[in-house]
Amino acid sequence: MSSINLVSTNVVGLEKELKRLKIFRIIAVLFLIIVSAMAVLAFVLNITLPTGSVKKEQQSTIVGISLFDKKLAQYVLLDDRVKNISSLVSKRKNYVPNIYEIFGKIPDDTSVDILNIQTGQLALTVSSGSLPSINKFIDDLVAFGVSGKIIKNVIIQGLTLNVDSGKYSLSIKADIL
Amino acid sequence: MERKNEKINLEFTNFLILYRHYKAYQLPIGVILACILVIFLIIIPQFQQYFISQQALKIEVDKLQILKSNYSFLTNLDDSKTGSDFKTLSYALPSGKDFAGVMNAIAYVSAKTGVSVGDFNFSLGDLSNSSTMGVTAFPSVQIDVNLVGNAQAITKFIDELYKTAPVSEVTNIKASGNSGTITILFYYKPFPSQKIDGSVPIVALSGQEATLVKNISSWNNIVDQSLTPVIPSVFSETPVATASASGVNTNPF
Repeated sequence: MSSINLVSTNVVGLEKELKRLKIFRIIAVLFLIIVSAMAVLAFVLNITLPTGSVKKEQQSTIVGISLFDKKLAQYVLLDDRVKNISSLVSKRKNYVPNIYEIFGKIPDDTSVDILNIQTGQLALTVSSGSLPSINKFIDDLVAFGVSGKIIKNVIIQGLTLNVDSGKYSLSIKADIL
Repeated sequence: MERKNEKINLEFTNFLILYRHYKAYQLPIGVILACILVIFLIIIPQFQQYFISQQALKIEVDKLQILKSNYSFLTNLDDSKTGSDFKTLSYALPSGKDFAGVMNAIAYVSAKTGVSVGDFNFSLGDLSNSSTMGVTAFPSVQIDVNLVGNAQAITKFIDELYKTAPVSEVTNIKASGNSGTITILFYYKPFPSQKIDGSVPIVALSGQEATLVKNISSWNNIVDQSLTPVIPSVFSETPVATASASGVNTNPF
């Protein structure tokens, strides 16, 4: 006796088909929901950006600033002068402190005959009746040259004696800093 | 011919069978495809637009902050102090060739140090309108001055000159015996010619700059100046200011 299959293979296939269709429908609905939510979110985000109010506030502040036109101009120009003067004052060459340092080392019985400064080159001639004073001055200049803070590259150009006046004359050359 | 028609009929029948079989799928698949299209064509561009707008907003907010801080700064700015500081600094660094200022400075320093001034020689340079000159460099008026005094006195003269308006620089010193010659550069600088914009951040003077202003206020020849600088027409396209001392009428040459 042969067995009778009551469950048709066609019915099983139909059930599978329906299940697949159901999954497709669920996915489609999910897509619809997600896309709608995203669209609404993007729209809301875009319209809630306060660009307009910021622009309005900018305009009102600009109007406020325009009341201080003169003040603003004066301050901007003041700032320009300060920056330029600051730059100039810091960059301009000032030999005076270094000259004072050198003069500070000149003994009382020694006088400055010639002082020339040109493009950072110092030429100095001093005279004195005392050779030890000249010697002391040379020592001090050499010390300056060694430290390299006031002058450098010190060259003694000559030490002469003027018999008539009885004075020694010292000429030096150096780079003044 | 008949066979061909038969084939077409067969294919059409197959298509109809398939169509009927998958008819129920059409709607969900169509919806899914439409959604994908909407995502790529509308939603992604909208989000991109949002991020762009957000960046633009950030720029605008920053600009607003600058404007607000400028407004607050200007509200609290002491008008009279700014005016007097500007006047002082305009003496120290004139916007044009300030011959009166130069003469005053030399005369003032001479009187103060007791060093007599002999002949002097101006090197005027370009006499064209100073506003056309470059604003980054520092133009100057060069003057060679003969002085009567020893090296120490001449050094004192230079020292005092460095504390006198207008800003100057001594480039050469020649002192011999009881006379000497110095070469002085008196600097000036035209005002910037760009339009003054309230949306550019205003930075308060630093402590160092404030000290500089204070120091310059105590310079020689500042309070003695009878000539006052003219504040430029500030919101014109080319706001160029010139000290009246540099005007043609005050030129002694």
